[in-house]
Amino acid sequence: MKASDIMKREIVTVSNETVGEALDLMEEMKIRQLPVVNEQGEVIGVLSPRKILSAALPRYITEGLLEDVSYAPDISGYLESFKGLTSRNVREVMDTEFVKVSPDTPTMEIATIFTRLSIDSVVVADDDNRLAGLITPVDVVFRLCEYAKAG
Amino acid sequence: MHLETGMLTASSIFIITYAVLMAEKFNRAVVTMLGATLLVFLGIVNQEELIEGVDFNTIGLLVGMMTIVLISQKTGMFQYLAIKSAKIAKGEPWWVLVSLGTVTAVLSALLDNVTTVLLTVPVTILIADELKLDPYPFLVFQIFASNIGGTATLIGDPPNIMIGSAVGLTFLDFVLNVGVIVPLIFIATLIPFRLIYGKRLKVAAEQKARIMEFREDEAIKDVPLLKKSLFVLGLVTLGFIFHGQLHLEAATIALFGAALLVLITNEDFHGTMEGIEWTTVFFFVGLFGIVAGLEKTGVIESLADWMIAATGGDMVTTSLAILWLSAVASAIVDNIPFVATMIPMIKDMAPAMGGEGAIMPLWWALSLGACLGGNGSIIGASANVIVAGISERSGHPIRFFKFFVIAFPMMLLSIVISTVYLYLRYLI
Repeated sequence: MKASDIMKREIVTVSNETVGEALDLMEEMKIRQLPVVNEQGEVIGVLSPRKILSAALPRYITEGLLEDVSYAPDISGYLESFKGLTSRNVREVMDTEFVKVSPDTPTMEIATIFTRLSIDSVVVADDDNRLAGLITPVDVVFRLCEYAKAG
Repeated sequence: MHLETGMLTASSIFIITYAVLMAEKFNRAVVTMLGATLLVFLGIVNQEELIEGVDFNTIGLLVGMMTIVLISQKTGMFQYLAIKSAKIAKGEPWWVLVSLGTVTAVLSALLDNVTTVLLTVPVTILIADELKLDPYPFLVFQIFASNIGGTATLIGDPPNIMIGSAVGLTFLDFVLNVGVIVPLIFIATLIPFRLIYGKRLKVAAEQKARIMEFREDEAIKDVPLLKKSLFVLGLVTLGFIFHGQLHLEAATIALFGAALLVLITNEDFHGTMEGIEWTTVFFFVGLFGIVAGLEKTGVIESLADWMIAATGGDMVTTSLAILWLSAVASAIVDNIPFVATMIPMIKDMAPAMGGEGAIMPLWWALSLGACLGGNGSIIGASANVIVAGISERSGHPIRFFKFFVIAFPMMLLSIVISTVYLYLRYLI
């Protein structure tokens, strides 16, 4: 079984929208992972809730300089930072370091990737770096379930 | 000056090493280790002489204290202290600055400055964010506090460790001769600070209230570890206070404390060892080796002779010259190689100036100059660079000149105070 057997093909993408618009899209279409594509249709990043949360945090937290904030009051600054985030372009906020696999990548490798890295999705791209599909852990699990029942 | 190839080679290697260090392109330890081993290859010193030149008391003290701090910091006690001090100030920005600075100064006196700022600066930025203030004044004052505080004790700053080790000075010697003027310098630094930043440090009651909402108890992650850490820290501090009477060197105290702490906390030794800044350790090893080369070839002796000739062997002139020279040098370049060279040089000057007992003012001058000089520019001390780095990564860069125009005059002020102190206490 390969990536092309598991991936979702009708993928909603964003290109130059604001984060606020992307969030509206996520809510409307009930999706959580938004690949970001450029004018040529190539995948340049992924926007996810986790990345949005981290983008609103101050750098000294996200870069690990302050590991523990359990003593801090609920940061009102965080809320304001988040509000400011919604008007920014998705390209500024997206995760530029994302995992890309080819449509031929075996299932076990995809499962291993999800186990080793704390990521929510894997982008499936063809040789021209064009978006072919998107895979989340849930997609792999359900597909494997089907396969297990059939066999 | 009687020039020989040996002297030229050793001096060249020293100068090149210094220059490469300043360029900051390569790892510090690699640079000094290459320099030192090169001296052996070139036949300037042999390996035995090189190793003899390495002050293992300094290195043992550094490693011991690094270990203790590495384990203690897991308790969250540093963050606790920072938050507690902000709450004691009731969130009033000026007093938050003063109390954070005080905590930093005291910690810097007992522990190394770099770790102190690494642990307290991120919390400071968080506190400043909650106050909706630019963290700049808080961070700048913390830089000053760490250097000023570190001047007060034998273990507070590497120059003091090196001087104390080479001359046989105790913890109390430093406290009673150098430490006494430190509180005055600390307070004196606050005055221009108040004048410059006082107006900006005003916030609404709402912001102050948020500071009071911090829950410092949550910062403590591991109470048993905290008790053990405080126990060992207390033991080690007592050990330092009495190490003269106990006839124990500082490294023994520190290494004993470190081993004890690892034992009673069951900490993973390998993991702890990985956290030690070996770069700093080997930087010192290589540096001591290079200075050994300078000593063996007679470079140091020549420098000492030159200094005696220039000052006429007069104690007042020499002390003040060393104070001011060390301060300015410390502000511009890394003070550790500078101090490493000055120590044998001053020792060589002793006979011409009345013997070892008589030259004590020179040592205090070197200590004050080398430690306080670090406040002169953002590159003046390692702690400064660390704070600037954290600040930059938090989106608030500390620019060289902006810092310099405030810091250099303030550093000069502290040296003026030191001048008056040295004169009145030792040179009249």
